[in-house]
Amino acid sequence: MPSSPSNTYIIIPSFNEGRVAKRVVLELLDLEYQVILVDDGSTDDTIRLLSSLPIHLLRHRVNLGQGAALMTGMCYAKKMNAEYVVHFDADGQHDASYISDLLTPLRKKETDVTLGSRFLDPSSIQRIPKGRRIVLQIARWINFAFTGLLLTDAHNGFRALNRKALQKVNLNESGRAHATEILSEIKRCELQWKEIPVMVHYSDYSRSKGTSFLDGFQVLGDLLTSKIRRT
Amino acid sequence: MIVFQWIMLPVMLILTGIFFQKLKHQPLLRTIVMLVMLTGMIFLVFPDWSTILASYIGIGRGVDLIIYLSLLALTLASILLYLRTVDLQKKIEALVRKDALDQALQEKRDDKD
Repeated sequence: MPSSPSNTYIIIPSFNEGRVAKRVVLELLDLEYQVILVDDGSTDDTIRLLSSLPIHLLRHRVNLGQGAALMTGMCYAKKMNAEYVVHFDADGQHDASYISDLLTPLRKKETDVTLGSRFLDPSSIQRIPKGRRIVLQIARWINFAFTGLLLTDAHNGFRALNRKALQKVNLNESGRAHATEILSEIKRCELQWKEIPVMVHYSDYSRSKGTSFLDGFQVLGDLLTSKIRRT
Repeated sequence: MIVFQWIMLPVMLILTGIFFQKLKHQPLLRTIVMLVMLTGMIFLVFPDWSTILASYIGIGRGVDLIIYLSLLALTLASILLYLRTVDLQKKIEALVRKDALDQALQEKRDDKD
């Protein structure tokens, strides 16, 4: 069956998130998805905690960044002949029940890429901390300036790609700027995209792991230097 | 020549020799570095020449000309170093990612066997 969970691979980049990542993985395994966890050079007990689980566990020997971990996961998914891939965070803030919502338009062949948005459902918007809401609104306009795509959300990380998109998208940004680069790739490869409402659960843990306001400057710096390098 | 010139000239000559040896596979960079070092040595031995050149191009003091040229050289060196660092980073990234993929695929093959 082409759309069964067994040919849908959930790619989880993880860096020092052992316990939380294990909880996330178990939840996904319950839903019978194939899980690719890319351990990005963790120094905690991630490998010990996850090595006994029936997942595809890939290990970066040194920490490269979330973008590089995602790209490794995508290369592996290509080799596994994946039909669909979903990018999913290891910190427990993404809700696995929304994966099917992201996959439905892909299965119906309406689009090539679905991007989770926290700003399409009013109840979801209320859950976003106020400061973060402002930062995200600024970030979506920065994304627009760099990519030409104006979305309702920015740097959410919860997205799904079909095989066509998986084959075409190529990430060079190893750090957090990959989230903007993916949008550039969607445009460059002329892929169809659609935003889907998703809920993000904020905990003290996920907030400490998420992109801070200062990280935003780092992302902006990465984007600018990358732009200069390519011109 | 004053004491400072006697100290600096051999230092610059040694540095020139090191760069000449180390950059043997990068002829363009070697030529640029050699020209910079040669110019530096000429201005060290004949400091008045820098003032003559500075006046000729409208800067005024020779020391100002040297500061401007040094800033330019430092900026260029920083850009080159940055590009080399990025290049190295990409090579390391490619190696680490290939290693992760190879290892995972090997484990998968072992599981099948």
